[in-house]
This record gives sequence, C-alpha cells and structure tokens, in this order.
Amino acid sequence: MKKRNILLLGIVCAVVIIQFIRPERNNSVQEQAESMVAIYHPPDSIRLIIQQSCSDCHSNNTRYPWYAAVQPVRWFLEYHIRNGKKELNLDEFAAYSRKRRIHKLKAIKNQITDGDMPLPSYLWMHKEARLSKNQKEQLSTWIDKLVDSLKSTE
Amino acid sequence: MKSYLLIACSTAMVVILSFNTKKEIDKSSTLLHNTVSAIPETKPIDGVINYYLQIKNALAADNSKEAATAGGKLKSALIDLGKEVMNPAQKKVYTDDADDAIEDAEHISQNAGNIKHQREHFEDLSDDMYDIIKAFGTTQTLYKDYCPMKKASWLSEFKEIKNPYYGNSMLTCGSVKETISKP
Repeated sequence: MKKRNILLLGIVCAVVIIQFIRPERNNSVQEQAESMVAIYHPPDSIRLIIQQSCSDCHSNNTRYPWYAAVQPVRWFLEYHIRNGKKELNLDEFAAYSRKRRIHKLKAIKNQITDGDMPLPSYLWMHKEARLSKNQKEQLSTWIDKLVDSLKSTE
Repeated sequence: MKSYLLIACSTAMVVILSFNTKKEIDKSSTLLHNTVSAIPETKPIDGVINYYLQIKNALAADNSKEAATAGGKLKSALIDLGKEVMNPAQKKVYTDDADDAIEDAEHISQNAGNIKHQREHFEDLSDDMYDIIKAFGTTQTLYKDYCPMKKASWLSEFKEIKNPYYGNSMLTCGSVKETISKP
C-alpha cells in the first residue's frame, strides 16, 4: 500500500514539474512581408482557407487552443508545428526559389484534393478547419492560375 | 580443437577468395562496359545521376520499396555534391534547386508503400535534376522524356520509353524531347 502511494505521489509530482517546461510559442511579432498572402494577394475566400485550415502549423503564427497550456499536449503541438513549418512555411514563401514555389503550390493542391491535409488529428479538434468540396475547388483553381502565371514568367 | 580451427580458417579463406575473384570479374565486366564511355565514374554528380536513375527505374517497375532505398541514397549524394567546389553558375543552380531536390528525395525515401506520393515528388525531382545536370554535366548520355498525359518530364539513360509515372499500366507512354550528351 505504501509503495503504491509513493508511486502515485511520484506521478503527480512529474505531471506538475513538466508543466514548467514550456517550449517557446510560435508567435512571431514581425510583419509578414514575405508571406504568400503578401506576395500573391489571394481573394478573401482563399485567405480565409489559409487562415482557418493551414496557418496554425504552416506559418510563424499559431492560434493556440486552451489545452495547449497543458503538458505534454503542448510538446506534441510544437512537434507538429516544427514539422509543418519545415515542409511549408506560408510566412516565408518569398524566400523559396521560383521553381520551389511552383512545386510547393502543386504539392498543396495535391495534399488538399487528396484529403491528406489538413491532418485528420487536427480536424478532430478544429472543426472549422474542415474544407468543403467547394472550398477545395476554389483553392485548386486559384493555385492552377497562379502556377500558370509563375511558369509563364520563366 | 586445432584441426577444427584449421578447417574453419581455410573455409573462411576459400570463401573470401571466391568473393574477391567474383568482384574482380564484376569489375572487369563493368570496365569493359565503361571503356565505351571512357571516363571512370568518380565525380559526385555521377552518384547523384545514378541514384536518380535507380529511383526512375524502380518507379517504372512499380517497385516502391526500391525507389525508397534509392531515394535515401540520392539525398546523401545531393548533400555531398554541395561540399564540392563549384563555379558561380553551378552554385546558383545548387542553391535554387538542391534543397528542393533533397526534400523530394527524402519524401521518396520515407514513403515506401505509397507509390502515388513518391511519383508526385519524382515529378518535382526530375524538374530539379534537369537543371542540376545541365549545370554540373554528365559522363553518360541522358534523354529527357515527356509524358503528355501526366504533363511531366523525366530523365532516362536509354532511348526506349519506360514511363515512371504510370509503370506497368502505361509503360510506353511518352517520347524523347531532348538528348543531353556529355560535354
């Protein structure tokens, strides 16, 4: 019985201690002059899609949910954000070479139309991020046009 | 005991020797092949090209696992290429294309079993490889092929069309658009 108490106390202590280990927040205060929105001026409908369904993991500004204050949830989120930004950072889109931008745009379209993005685990907690068929089509059309114009400036 | 050791040693010797001679034979046969294209494969770009071609051939054979293995090798070969001395034109191409190509190679290596995704990245990879090869040169003649259905190109070491985007379901779709010869 005593052993069990010590174990429980240990677990409680560990849970309390890890609350103090907080990774830095992914919230840049800098102006996003290099962002995809700033350089390509998408219409509001596209802007909304980007904001609601992509930006949390693919930009320098995450809107953290309340449960992000709890560890180890936050670590899990930061891990996702770090990977997401490595694949695609919409706030640093201007830094990609012309060809890389075309590739990224095509990849975005593929991931969205195939339903691979946004991630199912993300949609589970963010119902508003779910994309309708209509929204997916709007995004595809916008990307197609943009890719064509980028290709023609070669 | 001693005699056991002796037998073990001598068997090991025989095995090692037979392996060595096999290698020698292999070497001489590749040498024979290579005498046609004179220059031995020593440049880092050759490694890059060979691993790219391995991915291409694996995809044309619908072999996702082999494509993944070659993808991992291509990634390290591309990183090694960046450590070489480059002229300004090569440097520009490397900064513009290599990160992208490395990322594509990485995705191909991590997606064994998902050939559709591998082929998506192969399309971008081929795009980058074309510019990289144009800048760094090749010691073997390559063909730039184009598939009108996929609206995508790829590079091949042989004239015959073997479509890596569709594999067996449409192996001969496409045509040669350009021949890239050694300088």
